[in-house]
Amino acid sequence: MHKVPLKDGVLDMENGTFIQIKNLKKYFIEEPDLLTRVVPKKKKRVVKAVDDINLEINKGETMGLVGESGCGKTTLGLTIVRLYEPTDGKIIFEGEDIAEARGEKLKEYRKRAQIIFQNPYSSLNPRKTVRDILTVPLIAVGVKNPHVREERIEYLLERVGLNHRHMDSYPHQFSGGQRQRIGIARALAMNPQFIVADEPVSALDVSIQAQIINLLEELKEELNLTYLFISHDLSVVYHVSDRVAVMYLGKIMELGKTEDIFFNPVHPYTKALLSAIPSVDKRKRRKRIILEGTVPSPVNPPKGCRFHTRCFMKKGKICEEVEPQLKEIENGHFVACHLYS
Amino acid sequence: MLEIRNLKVIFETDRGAVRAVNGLDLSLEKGKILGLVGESGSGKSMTLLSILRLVPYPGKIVEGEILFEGEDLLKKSPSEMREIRGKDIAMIFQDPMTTLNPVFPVGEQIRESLRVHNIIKPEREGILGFLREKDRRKKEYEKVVELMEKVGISYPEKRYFSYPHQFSGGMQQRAIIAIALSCNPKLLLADEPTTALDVTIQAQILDLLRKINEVNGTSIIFVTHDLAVAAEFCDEIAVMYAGQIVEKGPVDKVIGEPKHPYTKGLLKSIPKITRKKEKLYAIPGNVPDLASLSPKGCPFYERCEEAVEECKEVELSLIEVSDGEFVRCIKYL
Repeated sequence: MHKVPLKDGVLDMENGTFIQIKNLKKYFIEEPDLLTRVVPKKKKRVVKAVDDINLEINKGETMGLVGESGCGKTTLGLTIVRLYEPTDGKIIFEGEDIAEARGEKLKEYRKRAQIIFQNPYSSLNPRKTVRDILTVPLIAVGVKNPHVREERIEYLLERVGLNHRHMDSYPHQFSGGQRQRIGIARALAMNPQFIVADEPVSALDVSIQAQIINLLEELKEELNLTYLFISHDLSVVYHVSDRVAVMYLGKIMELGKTEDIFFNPVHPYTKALLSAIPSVDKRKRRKRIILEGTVPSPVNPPKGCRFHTRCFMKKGKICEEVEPQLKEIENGHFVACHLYS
Repeated sequence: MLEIRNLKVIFETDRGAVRAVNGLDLSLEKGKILGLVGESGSGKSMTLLSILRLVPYPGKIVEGEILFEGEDLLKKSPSEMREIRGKDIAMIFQDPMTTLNPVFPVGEQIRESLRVHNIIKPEREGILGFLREKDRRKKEYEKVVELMEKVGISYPEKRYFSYPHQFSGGMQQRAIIAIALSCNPKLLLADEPTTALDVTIQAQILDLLRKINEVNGTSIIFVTHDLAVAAEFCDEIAVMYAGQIVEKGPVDKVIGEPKHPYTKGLLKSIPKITRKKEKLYAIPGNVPDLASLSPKGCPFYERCEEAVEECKEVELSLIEVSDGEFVRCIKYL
């Protein structure tokens, strides 16, 4: 596996595109109840969780995805690994569109793209031992020899910092951090190239959080992985990511190199989000921008720019009427805001 | 105003006694905000619940004193405690979604605390008071609307009749704060009030709590696992580990010049937004299981990088290292 050369901290864009997401949409459409079956409604309620997203992830990079709860970041992650069927759009993985892949082709994709879930308490089957949990993906990859499987499980456990003695224990016998390690081992069992980490450390204690973050970084180096790292914790995202995408109500608001997003944010939403991060260091604290209200419902997102209802830098009518497009304002730094168009 | 002395809470379980809170000393002055920081299982929530004498079964307060305005809360009768809860000492819980009752309108739930503590007194006693019930309700309604407005719920007249599921997480937490404030408490206990919320909403809620602290002079004990939130919001910080306070003092001292190895480790393990990215420091090992923790010696011994042989044996109490700053570590003996 060749590594894409680094060019002043940014991965080579031309050769490196690993996953390309084109106009990806995931809508949740209201199921008709008895009444609407008899008397069809004119308009069905549609939750546009992911609405027309374009994103490129390069080989070997960690793409951070941040946003408040309900902005669709988890839906995007699940759609990319095809745990949700995309409503529309393309997911091009190493040159092949897998948005509508079925059967063998989808299985093949699953071997290369895996996911680590947010809650280590609910993502492991309580009735299965660690051995069972790790055997299933190994069979799926086609490791038929039980001895080889055994060895592989031992290796995986060791790699994520657990002991092979743990093999016959059940999930409830582990602490939260250890469970998350099992979740990581399960994702690694497929020998993937791409991992979606969906809030992998949110449910963990501070001291354990650091252990898991370090483990994920080590694994990335060692196995040449590519991550999509989803989190609402901005400090964690800053720490692990090469590039960051900021999502709001199903749309990407700003996208760029981590340093650009964190030290030179341009979108008002990013600015407000960053200003809300509490910091232990007094000197680092920014002047807080308190956003009024909460995230509007994705059922009827505001017209025009989705952020205009809470925006403190609103330009005028245009914000309420025209939806801004994601535009490149400088090298690799994209923003969807009328202030910059 | 509040002083806790040598508080011990024990849970009797099949696996033996679990010392959830193990000899805790704490004091809080009027109008101050105290942050209680620690990881899960460190006993911070239990400390709050002990103050209200709400420790769940099979937990028991076995030793200690909790002096609130000079009176020991542990010696009060259940009915006296009921008077205090909600009126003098109010509490905000972690998860707003489960704290509110889903089958009653939010406004009614705020009104309930006004009624329970008899905040709006009936004009007359007895049967005539009963006849004036309508007036009393109206006054209570007005007071609730005023409270809702104060905590930043828009359209309070309309929102009064909304049910909890119609509120967002941040709004629900505001409603709970309104309940807590309804009787103008002297002490507010906040148990991870912002953990379930997004950063932008967290900023709103912290802003609101600070305003309450400044305007009403309400003292606050703020429990959190997030050191950064505590650093910004509190005047004083107490760091808990395995049921004990390992370090306490003014914010600048505890965050600026941490003394205890655990506090240092915690501070180092938070990812920081600085130009230079470094590998995160991780405290080795896991959060200890309280049931199997040795009763002797320092509970942090096994995870501590600065530990020496004596740490296993020594019985320590908090040592004052400078004015108002206390540490429980052998290095400062």
